[in-house]
Amino acid sequence: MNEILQIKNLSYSIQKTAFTLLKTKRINIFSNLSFNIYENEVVGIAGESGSGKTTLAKLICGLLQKDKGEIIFNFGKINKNKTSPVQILFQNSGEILNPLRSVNDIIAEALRLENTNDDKLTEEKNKILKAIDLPTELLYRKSFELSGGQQQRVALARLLAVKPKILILDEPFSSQDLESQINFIGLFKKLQTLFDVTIICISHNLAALKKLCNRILIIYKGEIVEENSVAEIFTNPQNNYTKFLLKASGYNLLPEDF
Amino acid sequence: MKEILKVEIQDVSVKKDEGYFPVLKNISFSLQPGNIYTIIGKNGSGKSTLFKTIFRLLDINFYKINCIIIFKDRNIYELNDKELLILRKNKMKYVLQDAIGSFNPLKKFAYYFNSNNFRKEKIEGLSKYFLLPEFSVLSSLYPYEVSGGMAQRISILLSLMAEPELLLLDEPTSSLDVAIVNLLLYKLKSFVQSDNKTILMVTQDILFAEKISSQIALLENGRLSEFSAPEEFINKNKNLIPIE
Repeated sequence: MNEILQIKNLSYSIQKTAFTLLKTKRINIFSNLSFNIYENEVVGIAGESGSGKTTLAKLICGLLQKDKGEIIFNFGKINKNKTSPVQILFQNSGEILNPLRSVNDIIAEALRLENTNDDKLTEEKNKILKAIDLPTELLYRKSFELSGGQQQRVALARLLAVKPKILILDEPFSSQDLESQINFIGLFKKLQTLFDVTIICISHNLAALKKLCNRILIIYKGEIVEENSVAEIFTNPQNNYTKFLLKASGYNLLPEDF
Repeated sequence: MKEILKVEIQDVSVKKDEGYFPVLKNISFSLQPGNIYTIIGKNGSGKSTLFKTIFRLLDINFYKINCIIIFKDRNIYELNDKELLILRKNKMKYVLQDAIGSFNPLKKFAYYFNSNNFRKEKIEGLSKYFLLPEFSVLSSLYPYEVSGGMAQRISILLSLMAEPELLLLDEPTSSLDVAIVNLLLYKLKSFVQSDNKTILMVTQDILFAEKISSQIALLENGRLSEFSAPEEFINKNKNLIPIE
């Protein structure tokens, strides 16, 4: 298997200023984090809130600057002038779409970044719309007229339009009912094979990750405590924190366990 | 035992264009003290509207409400404003889904802790239990300074402090970590059992509902199924079984 992303000794810290502005101190979010992501796999990153999952995603796609360490991508030949091959689907996808633009405009704009040919544009657009299961009658709706799940699909379509190599999903299952969670798991799996994209899924929903991923990384207080295939993690967890998380997701914890 | 709440809703409709659009139809049930009742429903099935109807929070300018809600022998829709205020202060509490939005953004949490004659040690104990920051730190924060999960925990904490006879919870687990949901589950169970209180909640988390409830019902297209015991409910609704 080829590594598509290698992270070596990554460090990141934030500066915290006290209320009086007199004292500042640096807080380490990550120190010496290393792991690999392989081509065409679906990998899950799980951990409780505040463990640094979203920060890690932002570091990978370049929204935050690392302090030390290396983030190496192996994409082969890519055109540097075009859009980034690493795309991220944020948690609040409804809020990042322009509410007054139509679905058609939103997707077409992203497609034009990749190819300017207008004939090909319609063809590509239809291909993407079909892939994300968005009914065509919604094409000329404005984005505020869509439901949360539909908005998430449109945001996803816009990302797929620029043909990313790595797709990062940040808590894609929060605020969804069970039925749409199952639908989205199916959708992500389909997109992975259809678009040959490597998916990194960040979530605290272990049950959903179990269905979706090949491999899971467990992150706790800025460190990767366990990294293994889905089957191993769920049947034979090694780390105490992983055991704790598994017990918690079955609602079997007692107050004494904390 | 005598029921604590009796709900009979003929219909609740919301104004839409020229006419009315029905949201809830023919719902009737009653709650016995000492139990946790859970209503499961998808997005848009009318869960929050049902709670707002029970709590008399719907705006009568937009809703046509035709119902009888009897809480301990009094119809809530016949109370005057002052009686309603007393009822909402001590007897019946409603934790909204949008926890941050349910606090006044201009007041620190100290305002809520101090204004109700709560025992400080008890708040401290509860906030420690829910893994919240220390009392002194917590009191000096504004609602917009805390995360959604923290606001939700504070909201639940405040409603438990008031020791209401009936507690309505609207998606209490929606922005909480799984680990903290475990704590909540345990606390709610002991709250109901030790003090003979009643909880009515809506959730989408079927596993949570199965673990916590005495009775579960399904709300679909504005209609409520009958309440049944968790095992029976799961048997009847195999299509709802959580992802394994």
